[in-house]
Amino acid sequence: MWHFALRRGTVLLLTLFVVSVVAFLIPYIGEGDPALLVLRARIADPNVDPATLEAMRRQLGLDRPLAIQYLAWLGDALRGDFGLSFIRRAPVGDMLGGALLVSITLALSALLLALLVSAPLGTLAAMRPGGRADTAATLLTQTLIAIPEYWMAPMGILIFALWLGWLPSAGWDGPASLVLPALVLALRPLAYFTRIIRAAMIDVLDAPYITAARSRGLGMTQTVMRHGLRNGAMPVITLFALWLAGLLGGSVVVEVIFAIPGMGRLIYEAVINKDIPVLQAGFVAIVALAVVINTLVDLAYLAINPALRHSHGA
Amino acid sequence: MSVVVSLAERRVTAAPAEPLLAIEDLHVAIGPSGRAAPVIEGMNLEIRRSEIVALVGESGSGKSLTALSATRLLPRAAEITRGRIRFDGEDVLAMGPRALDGLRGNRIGMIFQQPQAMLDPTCRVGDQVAESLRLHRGLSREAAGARVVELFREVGIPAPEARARDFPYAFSGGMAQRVMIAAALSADPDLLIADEPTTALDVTVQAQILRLLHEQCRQRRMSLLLISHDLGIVAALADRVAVMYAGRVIEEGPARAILSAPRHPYTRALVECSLLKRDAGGRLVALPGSAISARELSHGCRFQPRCAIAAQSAHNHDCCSSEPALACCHGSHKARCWAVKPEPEEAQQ
Ligand SMILES: Nc1ncnc2c1ncn2[C@@H]1O[C@H](COP(=O)(O)OP(=O)(O)OP(=O)(O)O)[C@@H](O)[C@H]1O
Ligand code: SF4
Ligand SMILES: [Mg+2]
Repeated sequence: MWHFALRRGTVLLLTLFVVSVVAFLIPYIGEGDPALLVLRARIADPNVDPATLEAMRRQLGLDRPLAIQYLAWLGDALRGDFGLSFIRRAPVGDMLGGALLVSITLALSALLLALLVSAPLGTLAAMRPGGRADTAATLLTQTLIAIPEYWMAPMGILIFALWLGWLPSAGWDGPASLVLPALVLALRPLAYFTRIIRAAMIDVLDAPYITAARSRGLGMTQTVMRHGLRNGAMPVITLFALWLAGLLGGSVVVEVIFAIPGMGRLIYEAVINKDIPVLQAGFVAIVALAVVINTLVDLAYLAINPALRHSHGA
Repeated sequence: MSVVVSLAERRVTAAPAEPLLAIEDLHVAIGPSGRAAPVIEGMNLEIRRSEIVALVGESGSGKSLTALSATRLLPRAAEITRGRIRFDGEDVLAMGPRALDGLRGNRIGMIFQQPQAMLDPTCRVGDQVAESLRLHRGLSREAAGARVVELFREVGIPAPEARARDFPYAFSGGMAQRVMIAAALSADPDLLIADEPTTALDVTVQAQILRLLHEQCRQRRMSLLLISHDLGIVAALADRVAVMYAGRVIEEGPARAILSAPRHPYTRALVECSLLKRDAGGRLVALPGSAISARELSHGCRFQPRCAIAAQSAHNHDCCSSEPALACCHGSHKARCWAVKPEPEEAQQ
């Protein structure tokens, strides 16, 4: 177990180091002069006075060696200080924290909803491949995969907000405003989860230990609960984590359509406005979260598979 | 209390003469409905109380499917298309899901060829063995756990308390099979079905497991359906032997008679192969050709394409045109072959 933790920890630190270096170098991409970037962001005049530029360089500490600059930047970043946004003039750390919280809430709601529906649906489909539930599930997943979010979202707003008036059409204000975007966001993962759960459960239900459990007198439902789900969980956890990591970076389409202040919109606006500090912080945060999620997946594997646990020396 | 009463009752429900398990004219087909192909055609088998019956035959002859039919645990693709299966007087084919769950594990225990694959890798073995006890005997978690330790001791698993908490990866094939036996015996079934229980094990472990099975059957007065293609095992354990070929029984009778005086050409070849006999040229005797499945056959004796006797026999015509019936040749010894005549004493009776 310690061996495993040590190895994981090393990989984690290495990844974060590389990510921080890349993030630090973002301002040097393109025009290659961070001072010029800052001035351009603040002053409308395209012709920058060389003296002002030099003063700005000194003010930003850009006259120091690159390594020193990196360490200074890293020290601030570790304390959550990524500087001020070029555009909003607010601390990037705060902006990012708020947006991340929004995106995590949205992503987790959508994915848990998707899992809640797909787990019984996929399992039911797997119990009788080619049966009625299976056919229905196939039809549903095909439809959901084919319909894009930018069509689903306006349709949702049209029906539930404008016609029925049950839910707010946009904004981020209380649980009610979460429902519609989470629903729209859940549909595609729901389809993919259903498919992978069906495939995993078909495999598992054919496994010898399922026949053995049945031969002891366990009913089908009990057998699936006791011996099926855990064994079929691995691929589902993997896919869930992939989606989670993807959605934490924000879902631009849904966030823009529903006017939700999440990561997707934040990054989208930062790219358009060349808001470098936001891009740097966003990049670091998204990769760091992905690394954390991956570690959690590995821990889940260990929790499920005793043989793996054993070979890692637990 | 009610459990105990029903336990006592059930031992006397069937008249002594009636077999515990009776499979009659069983037909099983495999494949998508509409294009299903027969793999078992007209299988008959009886097992009496406390009797050890061996089912032998080549790979693919339908032994496992016969066994799985008895508890209605056939794979998804397979279906019973005809026949009757009675267990202790009850019609197994008419049972609903709940009645079947009450039959499996409770009255019929099963063990299989790959013991390690038969255990859920994510579940402690003790918990898996306890399932039957909790289901069929209504034991609490603690009581079932304690009983599992006792069972482990009975089947010869060292350090039973610790092993019950282990996961399957920590068990060798032989130990895993002991676990499976403990699970199968836990609810004290009347019949144990063992489908090639030692095929995947080392020879020394094989002998231990067979001895354990034999002891347990004798102690518990339990019937055993032992599926095997090893005639050595059969000779050591079985009271009666049924030989399967291409989806049906082609010879059956007392184990001693079948092994010492096999009548059907296929059984004879089987016995000779198991003794590793040499032919006149000094080569090892081997049965030519490979088994045909029931689905490939149109008419005539199923063994005809591989039969050495058919060519010389006066019955040649019969062999090709119609299938012989399973007929008496001596006492309860029966064979399905045109060339087999009833023995003189039998004919006089
Ligand atoms: N799940 C399945 N799907 C398709 N065909 C099957 C399946 N199970 C068995 N069969 C076929 O049914 C026939 C009988 O199989 P069965 O497993 O009963 O044979 P067996 O006598 O037990 O052989 P073995 O000694 O190899 O275990 C074989 O031809 C086999 O190919
Ligand atoms: S009936 Fe004919 S073909 Fe079949 S086993 Fe007997 S002799 Fe051989
Ligand atoms: Mg078999």
